[in-house]
Amino acid sequence: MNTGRKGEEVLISERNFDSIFSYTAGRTRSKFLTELRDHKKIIGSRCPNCGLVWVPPRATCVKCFASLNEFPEVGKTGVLKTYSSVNNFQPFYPAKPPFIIGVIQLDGADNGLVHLLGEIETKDLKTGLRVEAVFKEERTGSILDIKYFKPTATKRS
Amino acid sequence: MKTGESQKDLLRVPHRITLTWREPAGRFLNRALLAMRDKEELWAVKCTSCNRVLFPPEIVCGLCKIRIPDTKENWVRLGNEGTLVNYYKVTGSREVDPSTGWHPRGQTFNPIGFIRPDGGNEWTILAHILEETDTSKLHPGIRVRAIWKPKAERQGLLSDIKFWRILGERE
Repeated sequence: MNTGRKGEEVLISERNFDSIFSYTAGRTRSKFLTELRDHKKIIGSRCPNCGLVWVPPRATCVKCFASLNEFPEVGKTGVLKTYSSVNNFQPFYPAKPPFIIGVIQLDGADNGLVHLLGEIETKDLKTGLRVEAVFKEERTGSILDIKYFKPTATKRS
Repeated sequence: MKTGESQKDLLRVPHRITLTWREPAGRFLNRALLAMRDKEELWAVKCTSCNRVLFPPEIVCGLCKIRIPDTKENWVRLGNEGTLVNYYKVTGSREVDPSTGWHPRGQTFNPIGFIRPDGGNEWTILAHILEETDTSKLHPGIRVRAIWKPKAERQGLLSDIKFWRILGERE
């Protein structure tokens, strides 16, 4: 029992919020997801003004607000910029903990993509690690059609 | 949809958000909820400036924006009976929820009543559940009484009152 300053019991309610919903991906993000699903390609969007390439693609440049209509393919390999090991559990997590989540700057992209890391121990992780995408066999048009990113073979030895 | 685009090319992304948190009731509401849980009593506060009787009690009057002093004379005991001011009929005739497929078909819902417990003034309105699901028996001005949950089930929530039962016609 929690008590306040005057010895009065303090009621504390445990609140739970759970919402299951879906949203339309929109034309640009749908393109990204269908390319993943149908061709195992990761595409970004290039800004005609500042030349930056955003992955996942966006309809509008974050920096200069230009409309983005060019969708170049970026590499399936990239550099691990930062990472975190997740040990607690929330129902909306994409994997069962413990898992490692990282920000990966793909080759040809100017920003990081948040995704899972696999086939690596936490102790072997370091920023700057070269990683490559591992695709699922059955793809549904989801960001999780990429199973995870694993260290590239050359850097592992 | 542009020409050349199909349903296959425009996707929906399934999503889920969960949050858990702990929340204290606050000084006034805490006291009112404890009185409900332990003594089956409803206690409201009265604004010293506009004399509104507020239930559930509020620390700051929403109209006058003053802090209501925590003194004995500002606390008003409300009765366990009251007058129905108005009610909502809850039909649940919504469309199917596209995310979950949930549809309330075949279920009956208790109406939500706006109840003024005895001892309150025209500003005392409590939104709570009514027992009577047949809304033809409800009309503004009808007398209602709070039916409490058994003591063991009460947790210090507004739902410690199970529902409000119709007593009879307007006096």
